[in-house]
Amino acid sequence: MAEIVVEVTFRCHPKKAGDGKSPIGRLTIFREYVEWRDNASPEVLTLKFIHIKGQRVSPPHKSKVQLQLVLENEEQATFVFLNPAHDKETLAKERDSVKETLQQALISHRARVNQLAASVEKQSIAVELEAKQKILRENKTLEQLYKSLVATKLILPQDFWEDYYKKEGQSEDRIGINGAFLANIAQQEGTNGVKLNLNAEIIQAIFVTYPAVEKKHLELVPHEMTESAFWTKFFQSHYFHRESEVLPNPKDPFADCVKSDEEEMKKLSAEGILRKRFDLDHLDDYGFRDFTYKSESLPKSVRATLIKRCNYLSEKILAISWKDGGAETIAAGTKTNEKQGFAVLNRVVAETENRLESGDLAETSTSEEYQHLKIDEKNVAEIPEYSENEAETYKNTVLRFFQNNSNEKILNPKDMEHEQTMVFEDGLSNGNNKISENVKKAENWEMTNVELGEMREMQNATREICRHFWTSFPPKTPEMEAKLKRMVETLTTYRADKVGKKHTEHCIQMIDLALEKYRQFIDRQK
Amino acid sequence: MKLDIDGLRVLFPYDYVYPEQVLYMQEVKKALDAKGHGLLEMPSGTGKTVSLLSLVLAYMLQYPDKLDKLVYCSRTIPEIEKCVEEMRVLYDYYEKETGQKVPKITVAMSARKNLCINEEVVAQRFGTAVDSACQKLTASFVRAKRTLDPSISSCAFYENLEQNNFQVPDGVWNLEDLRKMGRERGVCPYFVARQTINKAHIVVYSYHYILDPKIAELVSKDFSRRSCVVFDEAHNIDNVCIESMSVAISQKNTDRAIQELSKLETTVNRLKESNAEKLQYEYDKLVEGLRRTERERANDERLANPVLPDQILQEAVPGNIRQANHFILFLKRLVEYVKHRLRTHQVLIESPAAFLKDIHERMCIERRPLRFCAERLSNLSKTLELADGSDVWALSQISTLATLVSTYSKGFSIIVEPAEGSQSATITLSCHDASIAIRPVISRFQSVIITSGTLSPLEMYPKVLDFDPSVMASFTMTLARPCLSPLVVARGNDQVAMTSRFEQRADVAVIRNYGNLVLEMASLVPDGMVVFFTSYLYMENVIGVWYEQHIIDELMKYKLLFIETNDALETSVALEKYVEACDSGRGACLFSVARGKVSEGIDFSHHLGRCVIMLGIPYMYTESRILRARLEYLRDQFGIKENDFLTFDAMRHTAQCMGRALRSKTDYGLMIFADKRFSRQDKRGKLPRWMQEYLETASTNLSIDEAAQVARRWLTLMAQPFTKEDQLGVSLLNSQMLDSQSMKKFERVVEYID
Repeated sequence: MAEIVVEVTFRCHPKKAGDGKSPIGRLTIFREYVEWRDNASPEVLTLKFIHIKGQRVSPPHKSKVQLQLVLENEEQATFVFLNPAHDKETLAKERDSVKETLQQALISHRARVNQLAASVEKQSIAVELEAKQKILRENKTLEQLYKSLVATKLILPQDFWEDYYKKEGQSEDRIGINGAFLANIAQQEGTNGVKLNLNAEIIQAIFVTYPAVEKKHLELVPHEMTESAFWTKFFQSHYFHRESEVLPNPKDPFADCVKSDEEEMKKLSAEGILRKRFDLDHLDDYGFRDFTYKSESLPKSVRATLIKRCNYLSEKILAISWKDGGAETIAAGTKTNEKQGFAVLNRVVAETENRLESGDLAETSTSEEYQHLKIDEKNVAEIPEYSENEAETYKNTVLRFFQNNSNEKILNPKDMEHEQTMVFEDGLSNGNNKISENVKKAENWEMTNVELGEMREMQNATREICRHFWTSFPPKTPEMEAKLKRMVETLTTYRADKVGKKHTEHCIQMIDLALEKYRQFIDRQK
Repeated sequence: MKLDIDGLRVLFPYDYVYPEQVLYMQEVKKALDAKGHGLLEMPSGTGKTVSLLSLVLAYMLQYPDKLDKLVYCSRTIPEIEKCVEEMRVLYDYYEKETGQKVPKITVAMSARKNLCINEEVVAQRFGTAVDSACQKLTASFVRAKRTLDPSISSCAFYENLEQNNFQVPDGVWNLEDLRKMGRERGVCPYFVARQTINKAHIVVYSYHYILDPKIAELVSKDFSRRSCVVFDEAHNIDNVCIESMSVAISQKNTDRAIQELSKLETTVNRLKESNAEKLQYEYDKLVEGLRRTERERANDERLANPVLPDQILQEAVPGNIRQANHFILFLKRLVEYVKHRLRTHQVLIESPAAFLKDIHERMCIERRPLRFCAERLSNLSKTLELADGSDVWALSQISTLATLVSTYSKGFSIIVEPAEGSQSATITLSCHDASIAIRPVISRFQSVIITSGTLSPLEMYPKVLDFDPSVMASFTMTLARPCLSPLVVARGNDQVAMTSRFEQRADVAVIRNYGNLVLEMASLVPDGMVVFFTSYLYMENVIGVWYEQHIIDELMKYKLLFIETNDALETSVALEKYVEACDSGRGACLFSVARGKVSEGIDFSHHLGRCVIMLGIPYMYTESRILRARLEYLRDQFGIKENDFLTFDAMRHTAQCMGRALRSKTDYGLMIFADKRFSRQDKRGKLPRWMQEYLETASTNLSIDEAAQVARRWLTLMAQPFTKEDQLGVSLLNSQMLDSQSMKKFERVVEYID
């Protein structure tokens, strides 16, 4: 992974924004990151390529020879080249070679990332991980559960998270490009014309919208012109001014950008229209007209270019918000000619398109989800019947209880029978702190605090696994069936390994019930 | 639910019905009972189609002797398909209610490009190319040749259809159903549809199949007299009629015609040497008369005769063009004459009579052979076995002109325009009288119902189309909430009047105010917003100015911007992206042109159009000579004042553009009329009733700020959830609410016009 691409063994001088003093060190470029090691101290500064947005160099007239890396978080890392063995010119050359190498490495890195469509994936995984960590941090019980179930590999992480983490559509939280990114450039009236302040965001937007410009940028900067000269040219160019006619001005570096854009526009048109409803050629059913009125090429108007470029810009901006989703679908091997986007949206669109004029009149069948219950005739619920004597005793017990016992006493487990203890256990497992506070002596259960905690944990874990079991029961899909099997295995092992200590009757009961159900299910299947 | 419409039991496929629909059905029934015609304006989104279908189907089932066919003509393919789907819902409902299938055939019909399933043919994509490719495989002489030479390729689907007597069973046959059936049974869906429409009880297709005499004669001529013909979305019907009867020939066309002629000549000469009998046979046939077998004619609609042929078919072709080479010479003279007329330096407008006189004097061409020109050309191309009509398209244009000009003396003008700049010289035979094309339909069929969401002012249509409807009514919209909000914005915040009047529209202040209006609205309207300009040229200029004023950049801050262009494909792409932008929640703004393709065929329902802005009044380009000639004709013949007609036309297009945004009662949309002239009663009064009624007097003269304030308040109101319960009893009825007592309160919904 960390293959060294180039190692620059001269001294440089990093200056992270805000750092007061500046130690001297060595800069090394690796395949995936840049590393700077302090010569004097063990301090290491690592900058991953993925965090690097771009780089800048100091203008030639400056006294210091600097290279600045602009990071994604808008921070900058500045390296001053000061190998005492070289003069300024050599330093600059050195700097340029570093920049060039880094640029190439960055480009190949980006290409790699794009190619694998991994950038999105990584990002979303990181986001997901972060979100999950947050969930666990905020919910202690869940964290415990996670530890006792997932960490011990009882339950697969995806099974665990399926209830606690809702994954959002990946493309949906991507931010597109502001439509007016060019208009939003801060302007200052200078002495000679206007001064435009570009920031990395705007430059990124320009690159994404006009890929031809990015290509030009890689080509020209810094070999033929400086960064600022490039942008000056860009904003002066006819290319930028959308309304002007294309002039084959040899001095304008953007002349061929126009051409490549036009090709792209043609490509867009050639892709055709996917939704027939908006295909103007499809709408009309008067074939005869094509025959009688062969369209003669209309004279191109002066404004046509402006209009075309306006459309192109909007189309491009729009396409960017779809792009990343698109890479995935292709990678997933689905139909490539399908419009990429949000699946839900496509469904909605299809619905509106097939909508009839009188559609509103149709009873919107609120398809409430009914669960069909099949009740076996033999399973008649038991109504417990007590003999008169029994009934009397129970009644008396309850009455006595309420008459003689204060609140405190209710909570005193002494004269409770075993069943009632179970009830309390349940209460405890729900984390009812009040009760556990009031219960001063855990010895009453012949348990230490630690044991109690363990028991609680176990109870929770059992419940969680059982919940998973029951949610996938009866299995309707193959996936559910697979999960069910997994859960049964888990339950069996769990029962064998963990349960078996004190006060686990309830847990065992729960597990046995589930396993019994499963056995029945298997029998019926046979 | 079951409805009782004036004694007729109508099965209506839903449990709820709009009051307008009940009243609409009553009016349609009146027209059918009277065996007369109807002109009905019903707001878009109130379920016109389903009401019409339910009523007519019930009528046909109960009085089979009074009515036996429904011909439903719509404008675009999606509309046709949707209509058939509505019919399917109705069929299903009948089956559910009565327990048996409806014993009627419903069939949709479209051009080959939408029906063909022969992969090689349909790969051509474009309409004419598909037609040509099909004819090369299926023309009768190609098939005749194949019996001699089996190597000639054929279309299996067509041959299969020819050999087996295939009958479509009762049911609903949409375009997709036809294709599917064609694939399953291995028969050609296009020709199945062509055959089926004659015996089908319900036919759904495009206007042109019945209005354009060239096509109607081939496709729709065997329809029963006891038919009900419905023209839906018919607000533009007069223009469709006129268009189908007009021909324009440019300099380029004549050059091409000459090339085609020389090719034709060599073919004739070659044939003369190789197969002289064939030409002789043709000659003999022409002596007998022009009646040919139906099959041969039915196959090719492109070289058809533009005139109703019955008048011609009775007569024999005049002697001097019977011989193929004589006819070629005749055509040469004709083309030469047209070329000569194009060599002028001044504009000339003349009547057909003057044209005929001139051609007679200069070229010694008489009226009679001219009349037969189109027929004779199509005949010749049959003899010469030109499967592909596009080999002679320029010639057929010229012969169409010749036939039309010599047949009609009234209602047409010849307009010759010399070359101007990039515009090449053109000779136009312009039809001014919409009634010429529609008269055969109106006189032949028992009931013709013309209906649309925007037909106001209704009284103009009987005049222009020269017919006498027995029912003429306009319906308003019952609404449980004010889901349309028409606002007239007459001035900018600087109090400068907003108008597209010719004298003021180039004014920078006016354009800037228009820009501010668009910006203001873009900042507060959610999702999609459509801006209509009065013409393409004006739009280009305004966009240019806006660009310089940075209004375009500002607009891009709020919404993505898409613009209609001259190019249909480019526009379609932009349109689709616009929809995508709205669907994804990004929001967008579409600049479009009144009378453009977008304004005519695309619905911006729900989030696709929360606001429509009409910048100015879309008057026709009054300097156009063709328009001038038409206006004169209308004034002289029908007593329609020039200004009345122009305003009528501008207002119907305005209403059309505005109506794009509101497609159902649950939809909502702002309608902004941005021209001070809209505040005047003579303009406002010509809007459809359902728009007028929701246009409050207070909002007829707003400034941009005031309009924004109204819009803001209204949009929050509209964003509230809206359910069926809110509508029930107010704008929606169930079967308990249909008694005459409760219907009484909807009396005002329908307004009759004398």
